[in-house]
Amino acid sequence: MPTDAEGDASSVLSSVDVISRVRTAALIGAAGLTTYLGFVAATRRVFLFPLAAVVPLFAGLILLNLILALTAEWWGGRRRSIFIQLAFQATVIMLILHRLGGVMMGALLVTGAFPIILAEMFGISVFGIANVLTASYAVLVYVESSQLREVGIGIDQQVAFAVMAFLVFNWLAIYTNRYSQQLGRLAENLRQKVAERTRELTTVNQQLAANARALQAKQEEFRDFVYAVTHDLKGPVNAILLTADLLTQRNLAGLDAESRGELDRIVRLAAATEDMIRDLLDLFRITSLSEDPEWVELSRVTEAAVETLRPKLLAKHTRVEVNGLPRVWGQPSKLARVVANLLDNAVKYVPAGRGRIEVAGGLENGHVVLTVRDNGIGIPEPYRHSIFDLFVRVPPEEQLVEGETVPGSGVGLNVVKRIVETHGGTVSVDCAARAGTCFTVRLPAGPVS
Amino acid sequence: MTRATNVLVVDDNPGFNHAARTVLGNDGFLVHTAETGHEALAFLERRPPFKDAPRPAFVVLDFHLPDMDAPAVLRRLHDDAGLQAIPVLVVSQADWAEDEAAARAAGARDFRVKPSRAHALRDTFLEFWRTHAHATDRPADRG
Repeated sequence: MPTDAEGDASSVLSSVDVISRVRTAALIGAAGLTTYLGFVAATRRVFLFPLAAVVPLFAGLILLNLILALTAEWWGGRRRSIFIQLAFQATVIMLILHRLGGVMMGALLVTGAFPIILAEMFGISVFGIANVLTASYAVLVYVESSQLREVGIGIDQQVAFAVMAFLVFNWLAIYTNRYSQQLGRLAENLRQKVAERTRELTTVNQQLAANARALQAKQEEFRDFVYAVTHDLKGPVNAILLTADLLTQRNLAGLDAESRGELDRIVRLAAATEDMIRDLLDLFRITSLSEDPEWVELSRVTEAAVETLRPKLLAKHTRVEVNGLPRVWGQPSKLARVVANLLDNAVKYVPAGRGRIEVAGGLENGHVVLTVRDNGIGIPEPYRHSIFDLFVRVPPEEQLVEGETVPGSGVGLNVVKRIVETHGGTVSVDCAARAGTCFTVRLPAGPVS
Repeated sequence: MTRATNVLVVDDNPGFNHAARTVLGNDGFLVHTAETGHEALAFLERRPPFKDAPRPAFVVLDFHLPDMDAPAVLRRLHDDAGLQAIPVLVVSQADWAEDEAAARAAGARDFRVKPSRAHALRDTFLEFWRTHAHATDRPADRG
């Protein structure tokens, strides 16, 4: 009988699965019968099998199974039809046994295993089929009873044959059923484990996705917050500057030198703060800007940056040389900002009248290399690593250009680094051998996969 | 009869409004101030408490106001036949192209970053006024 577990399992199976299982079993039945026929044919001289008498029966059963396999859609869903079909095969097998030599060919009784195993595969009663086989065998014994007596096998021995058949078939049924149950349980356990793990993984994945979404939302919220604070800070600083400036203008004559100096300091500090806020706003803006990447001609970008800087370049009589810039794949306005910030940085630190800035480019191991070299005051060794961090600057007293401190907020190079890194590139200060500063930007030459 | 040239300055930062009033006041303008978009619209539309408000020769409008942004104010002005002719200078903390484009699309005559020096502030206002306001409103011409 099908156990509860099997019942559950078969109820889980869709009708398509049942049909395909029934069809497979019918094909296996046909193959088994063909093999059995092959055995009979091969051993007919040894055991004196009358082949002609059984071939039509075999052929009929094989054909029947093939037809059943082909028509599985129509009958496969019905347990009763499967049982009838198997019971029919079981009795025909007994008929074949009878034709081959009858009860005396007891060794061939083992063919009964064949419908019992199929019954298990079909999920119908193995004990039912086992006892159909037993009954058929008993009928066989009864039919051959007189012949058996002629060869000296008495009624009591004939009954013993039938009882032995009963025991063999039912033992086979018990064994098949238990084995199948164990397999079924094993399969069920595996299935449950897989389902459990799948559920766990799904839960974990959902949590991860939710966490990622929450994190992104927090980041956006944080960025908006910092942006709003920065923006709101700029207004008051701007007003402080204007107010201090008005005061200076109005009372220039009335103020003593010390007060004027202090007022100047307020203006200088407020102006520096305003610059810093402006650069910070710029940083937020440029880094949160989403742009589609395209081929960017570095020569054109550099030309535009030089044009923008022209007033400063002219004021310091600084020469700019541009050599062999290739094109690079990236976000145009961000890359333009990289070039502009590096040039802006360079022009601040070159000496007036004899400043030189050299922008050069090339290809190196699949990377575009862009160098911006100046003959300015250079960056002292201890600061070369941290110079790209936000708000980090070389202390003013260590970077006087012709005795003057250089204004700046410590944001520009950080912007450069952020943009270059989002493009999958690197930026470094690495021209220690010569005077001045040399920035090297390495960017992947083509689209990054 | 003397007729001062009226200007409306709209900014939520009183420091900026004060600076604007000072630099323009020195040049003979009469500066009115508002701190929100709604206050500015009430002034221009002469709603209470601005029933007798004069019509300004030009408006200086901060891009980011607490209640609305400059384009929203500009659109309201544009819908009013009596107000759409008033030239508006939009000022902002940052020179962002999309802000400028939005302001100009809504009818701003010019867009400038807020100068942080008094003389630059004055130059910006006067240049705008010379370019966009009617010559007959010049304070120098007043009787």
